Amino acid sequence: MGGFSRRNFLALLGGGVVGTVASPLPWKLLDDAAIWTQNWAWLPRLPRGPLSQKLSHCSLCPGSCGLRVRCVGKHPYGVAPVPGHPVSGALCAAGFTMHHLRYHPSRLRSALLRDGAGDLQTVANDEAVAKLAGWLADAAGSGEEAFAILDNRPGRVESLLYQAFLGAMGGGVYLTGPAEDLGAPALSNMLDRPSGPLGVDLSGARTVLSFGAALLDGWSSPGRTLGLFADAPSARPELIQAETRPSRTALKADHWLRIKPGSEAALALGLAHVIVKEELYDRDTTGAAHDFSGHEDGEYRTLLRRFSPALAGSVTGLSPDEIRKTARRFAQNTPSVAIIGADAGGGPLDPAAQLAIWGLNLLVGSVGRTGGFVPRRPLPRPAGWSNTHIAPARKVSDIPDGSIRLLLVDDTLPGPPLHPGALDRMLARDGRVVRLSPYEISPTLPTHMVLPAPAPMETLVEVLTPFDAPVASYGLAAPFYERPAGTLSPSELIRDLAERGGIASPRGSWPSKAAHLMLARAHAIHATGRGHIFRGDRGESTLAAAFTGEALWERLRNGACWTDDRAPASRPAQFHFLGTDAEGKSRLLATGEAAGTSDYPLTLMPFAWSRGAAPGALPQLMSKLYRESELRPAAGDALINPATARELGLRDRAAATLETPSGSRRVRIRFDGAVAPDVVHLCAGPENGSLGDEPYDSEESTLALSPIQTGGSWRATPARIREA
Amino acid sequence: MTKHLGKFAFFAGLAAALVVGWLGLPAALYQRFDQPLQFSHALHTGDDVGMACEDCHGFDDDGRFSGIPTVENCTACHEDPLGESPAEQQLIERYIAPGVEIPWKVYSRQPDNAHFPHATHVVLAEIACQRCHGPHGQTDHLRPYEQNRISSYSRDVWGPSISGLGTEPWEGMKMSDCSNCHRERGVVESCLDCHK
Repeated sequence: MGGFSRRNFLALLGGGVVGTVASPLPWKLLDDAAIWTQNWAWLPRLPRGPLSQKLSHCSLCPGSCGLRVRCVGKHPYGVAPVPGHPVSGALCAAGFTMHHLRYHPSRLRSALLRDGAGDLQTVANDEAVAKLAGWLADAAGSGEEAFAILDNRPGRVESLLYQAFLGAMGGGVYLTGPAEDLGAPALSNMLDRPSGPLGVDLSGARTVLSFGAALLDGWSSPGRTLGLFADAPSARPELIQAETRPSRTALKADHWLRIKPGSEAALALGLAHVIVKEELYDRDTTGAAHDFSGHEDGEYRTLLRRFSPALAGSVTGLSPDEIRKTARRFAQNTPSVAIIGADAGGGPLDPAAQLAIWGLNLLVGSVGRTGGFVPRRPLPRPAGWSNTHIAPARKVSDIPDGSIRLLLVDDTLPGPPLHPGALDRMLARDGRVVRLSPYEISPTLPTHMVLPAPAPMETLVEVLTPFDAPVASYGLAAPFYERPAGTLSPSELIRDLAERGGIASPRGSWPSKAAHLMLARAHAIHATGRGHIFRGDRGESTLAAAFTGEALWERLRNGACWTDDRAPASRPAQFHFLGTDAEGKSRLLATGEAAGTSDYPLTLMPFAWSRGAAPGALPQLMSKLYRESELRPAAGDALINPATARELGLRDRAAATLETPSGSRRVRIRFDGAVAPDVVHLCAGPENGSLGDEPYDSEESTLALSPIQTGGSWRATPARIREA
Repeated sequence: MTKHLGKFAFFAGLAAALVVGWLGLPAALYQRFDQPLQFSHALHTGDDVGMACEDCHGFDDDGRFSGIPTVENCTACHEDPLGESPAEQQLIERYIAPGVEIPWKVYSRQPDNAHFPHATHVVLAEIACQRCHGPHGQTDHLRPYEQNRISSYSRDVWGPSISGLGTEPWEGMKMSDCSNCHRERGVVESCLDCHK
């Protein structure tokens, strides 16, 4: 073997390499190593045990979707929708993964208190509550309306407790958050007599004209809206989406009217112009209008004459012919409804636009009729909880500047974010914000203390009527996990504060558990003798009157859903198209295009997915939609038309600095050919921290760039951008 | 000889690597465990006893697959000895009399991240047990359980051939095997069907 040279040795090695590649060794080891990394001992595992399905409801948003929770033993491992559920038989991506939220990295298990250096430090819960009680006593002693509770999910029994506590305290303010709604305040501004709650009968409509409502992306109850529009075109309403942003709804709608920023009112008035000019309106309804043809010399008609298709077209960027065609389609393919959509990031539509859109609905007679807006009975309250002795609900915009010294924010259930400007405005200079939340809070939100609350699926939660539902409904989200020790529910916090402050309940005592009040509500529902009970395990509804109050409660605790009977519909009595206040009229008359300036040539429009901008947490698995796959834009992504971007010297996916007169922040450019020229759509949520990806430290506020304008909207702000 | 030594070295290396990969790897990769008790499926499903798979591996009243039978099932017949086999004697002495469950090592156990509903496949789709488990119901003894030292999965998940290419449809219970069967039958599949 003296001839076994280096060359022969290399040949031996080469043969070995070829043989190894031709054997299963590398491939099998690669496969096993990959599996090994999925089964490390420290990864949580489900216990083995009997599989079962339990019915419940999702509490992540007010959509009231039914849940089938799959469990191993008592442990949830999967969530699925309930087919045939009367409110919502489908789930959004967050709902499908809501059982992961218990394990979210930002989960809070003890109180956080801001120290002198401005950092949030962990403190014992008892110490934190004692400090809060002291702050409360200070605020209450400093004058009327210096303490407020902001409720992100009004209407619950916990909301009644808040109101009762504030009523018993005297001088406390109960605030409701910026919940999604149908623009009801604008309608009530038009009616002579206030109307009760309204819902929209989308399934009975033939045409839906949506002004920015994310009907195909989680608006209201995903099961109801997505299920409706998933049908064949012949079996569902025609969807016309009027929106600047190429949202999912806009891209999937039958017709997308890509209007210029802030031109919703002009579009609505232009459509109304055509409907009136061509006499396509509903004479029965318009006959009840003071300002259409009768008492006030037709002031509304006078306004409409200005908004010819040519003018509306120049303001909206649409062709006059497109406006005419849309108006005819809307007025002739009835029943038709015009829906007002608030954006979780972009905020509500301007009140003038809301007034103009309601005007469209009234013109075609879609208020108070099947296939349009229908009256809905309010959800019964527990017996003994009438409006006496409780603080009335007020809007944040009604609070005087700098008046609140202590604000308690209930973040136990996610809700649309309150604009930071609105919070800053009402807080006194030394005002404090305390949050009750299951999760850490983004540093962009003012917070002096966070108290740990139970997470979803850890406590019994009421699931109330969605804002757009044609009938009232009621269900319960059942607890599936033990709550971590030390977490405080709203009812426990109120009871604790009342005991420390010596605040007596006008009803004798403060309930220790919200479930007692929920039981009382179930009895109140039973007492109405109305409605049906839907049981998801059987997929059928039975008359609620067939049960006793106790049996109804048991059904509800086991995941059943109560739905009310339809209320009789009637057309509105007397109303004003231009609203009853002078401000509404002047806003409508001043309707025009939001234009940029020479310093700020672009228009910034923040936006967010309805579940994505809430201050809480999203299931960690959703990170795959935002960070790993980039299927959805996340906070800080700025969508811009490639032509506009190139003019400004911007590159796709490059970092840039976005500036408005209110400030600046770093953004990441994303080219999107469907974005209108000279517009930047900046995603306001979800933030990295809420997806559990990174700590909250590096977050920059998005909404702070868009100050609240007259009327409470912040949809369009002049801006400029440069590559960082 | 010197002239061909290079070729010889190449093929020697090739052959050694092939032997290691095809024969050495399986021997080294899998750890073998004997079952705690011998059991003859053939005896129970044969003509003398005449039981069917579902007599022991059936579905509960609520439709749930019962999986491996508990010792209670065995007690129904073997509370007193029916024969003289050492296996039956062990069954009674070690498990039935003290009421202890038999710690079977399950050949076809799927990993924790996969959910396989027997009811859907056996009851709704009417797929025979043999499609996935092969002739297991006719075996006379229980072969050793082989566990992958790296992944800790049963060897039956990968299949008996180290190449992963089985000649029979029941050889292998990997995700690709599930997908292939779904495709053959035109059944729509999605990630969340099995990975909850």
